[in-house]
Amino acid sequence: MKRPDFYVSMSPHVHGGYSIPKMMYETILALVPVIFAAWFFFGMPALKVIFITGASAVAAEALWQLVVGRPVRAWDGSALLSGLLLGLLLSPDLPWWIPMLGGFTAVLVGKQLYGGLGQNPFNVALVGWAILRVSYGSSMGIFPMTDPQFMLEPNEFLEYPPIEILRFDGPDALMDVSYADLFIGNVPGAPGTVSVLAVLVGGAYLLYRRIVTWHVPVFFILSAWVFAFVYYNMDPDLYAHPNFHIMAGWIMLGAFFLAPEKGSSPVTVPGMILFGVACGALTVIIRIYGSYVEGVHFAILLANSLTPLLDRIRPRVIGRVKEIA
Amino acid sequence: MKVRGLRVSNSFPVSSGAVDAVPAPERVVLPLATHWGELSPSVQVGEAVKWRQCIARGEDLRLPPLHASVSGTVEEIKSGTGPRGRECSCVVIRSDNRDESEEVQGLDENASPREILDRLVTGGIREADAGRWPLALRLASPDLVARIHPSPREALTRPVETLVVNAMDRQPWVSVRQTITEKRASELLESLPYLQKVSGAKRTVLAASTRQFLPEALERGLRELKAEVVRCPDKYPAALEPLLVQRVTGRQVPQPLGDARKVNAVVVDVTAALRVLDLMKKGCPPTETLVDVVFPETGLTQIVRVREGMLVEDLVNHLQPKLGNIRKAVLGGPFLGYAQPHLRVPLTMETDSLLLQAAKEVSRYDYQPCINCGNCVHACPMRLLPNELSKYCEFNAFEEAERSHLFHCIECGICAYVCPSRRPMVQLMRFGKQEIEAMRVES
Repeated sequence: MKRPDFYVSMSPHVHGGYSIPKMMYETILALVPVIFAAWFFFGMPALKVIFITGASAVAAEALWQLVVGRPVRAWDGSALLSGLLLGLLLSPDLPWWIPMLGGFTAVLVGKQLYGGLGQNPFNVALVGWAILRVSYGSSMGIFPMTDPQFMLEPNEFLEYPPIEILRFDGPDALMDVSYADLFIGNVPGAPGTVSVLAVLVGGAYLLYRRIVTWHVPVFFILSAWVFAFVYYNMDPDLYAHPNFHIMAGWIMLGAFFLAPEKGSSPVTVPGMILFGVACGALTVIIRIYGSYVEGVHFAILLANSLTPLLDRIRPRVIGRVKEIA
Repeated sequence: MKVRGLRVSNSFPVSSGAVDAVPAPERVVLPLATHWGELSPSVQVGEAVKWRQCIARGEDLRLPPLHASVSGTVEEIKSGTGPRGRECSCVVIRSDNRDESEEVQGLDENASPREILDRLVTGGIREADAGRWPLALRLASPDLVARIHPSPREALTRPVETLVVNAMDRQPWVSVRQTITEKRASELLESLPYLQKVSGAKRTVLAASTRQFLPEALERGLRELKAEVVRCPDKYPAALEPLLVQRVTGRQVPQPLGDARKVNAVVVDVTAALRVLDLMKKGCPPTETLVDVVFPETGLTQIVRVREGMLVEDLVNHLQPKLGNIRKAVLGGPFLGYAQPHLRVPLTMETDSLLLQAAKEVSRYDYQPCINCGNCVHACPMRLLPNELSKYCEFNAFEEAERSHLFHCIECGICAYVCPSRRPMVQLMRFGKQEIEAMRVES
């Protein structure tokens, strides 16, 4: 056949210019304030962990793609993003090989075994985290006290993450935890999750760039608040205030960065809303009844397993109307 | 009803609105294919034809016949490229440069709807929007339809309640209709009574986008004709028929084969309206077409008036000083057009724009698997799940695709535009549709 003189393709003949690397690196850009907060409150050890997980995730992806003979797309930012997120969830005190193992397993088990980017049923970073949590539970639960780099004083009243104080000492002990500290992040905990402020800055960027639509984050936080409020309303002496619940622990990072991960979260609007509600509800339930202190990680993993079901709830297609006689 | 869509960047220069009349070419190529069937030529090779003479008509007389766009001799009848890139036979006329016209006579102002309809049927108006029916059938009120169609479909027996005159361009980067509405408002107003008469419409609507400028005289004239202006969102697929009708009437056009008559509406764009006016007032069947030529590399946007059947090659030669090295030629605009393998294709009434791209503008579909990001789901104006549909079509799961309403897809191309994996969504959808249609024929 004669080669045509011109390029021939189907319409459309223009493209918006959006690409996977762009999407991933913009999400990483949104993570910068979170990473900064991690360094600010926990210093170089936190950065070291984040660096190890990021590098090992990219290395694992590149290795796997080389071994199975697929085009190597390890630089598209998706592995790096998962690695950075995983690093933000780990205690800065861990020995170097635990984060490295986490980065490897997150990408290999959480993503590549299912077929690569976007095919993973569960959040990649959380799969890595869960494997580490199950394997090295005792060291995973130990978090250092904060040590702000400048301006702020270290928070000497808190030795444990606030959410653990709630579990072990009850709501009365929360008197020591000020909301200002919770908001800025001057509390012990996983480095990426402590600062509500940093996550909100990054999350606002994600929403502004429409990388994440507002449905999942808003309904995640809202439903967590409402469920916590139900308990608080039953017995304020036994259960913490809902404001504390949404500001302490992983909820903010989970709502903006973990739950809306492409691939493992639903794509339709009703699906996303229900997904957010499920995440929030499960978080509060696990926090109150579960054997784990924090609930966000397993709530998101459980909600991920609902995604295929939620994706079946779809809006009515336009033009599907009964013919009017 | 909210219309979903895209605001495509407005940074691109819109044409100044000046229309460059291109001299008639030496040779015109007139394809015999229409959206509804092929015409057969009524002239012989070597025969002398006059300008505006009817040279081909369909076996079904309701198909719009074809008129010579220059006077001269029929050089040959050969196979060529039709309006949508498909092969069809074409009549080639060599011009004698005299533009000797067939005698034409206008209708007087009090013409009855029957006379108007007869003119429409023989007038040979074709449009950029491939409607479900040729213009004459689509516009005709039920009692008139009965005259020209012995057993019309149910939709055509419905009275026309809403007549929508579409002043919006179909897609970004094209400004033909916008220009016409601004510059030729008085003629547009003159054409409306004919359309109202023949359709018997109770409500006449001029659809314009929210940012579109409408001359004061036009708005005043519309009020006198008891027509209203409906402003539609300035988003890309809002001007396509199903969405436009939904916006104006509040009723969804049943899909597939979206036929606005099923919800008692008919859409006529302003270009067609002016053709109707020419046909009625002067008796001239349309032989010219306005084409918006866009060459993004040099920022050229120019509306040209060309004779129907002029080859793109001749037009490019005419514009050459303003153009560069062309690597892709698209007839019909950036989102809905058809890329052409060469430039020896004719410009027809179905074409309202010609997009010429240099090498660096050509977007490539070197695609990756779907990553389920859901961008297409949020952008789809028909509220389909393009991500699923494209995967079904890619992996030959056509039954599932059909069950997920593949045929509701209007091929607007937004899903491909927003796709970060650069998947050729429209191609996959069309492939699926073709395969399903082939299976239906077999069974």
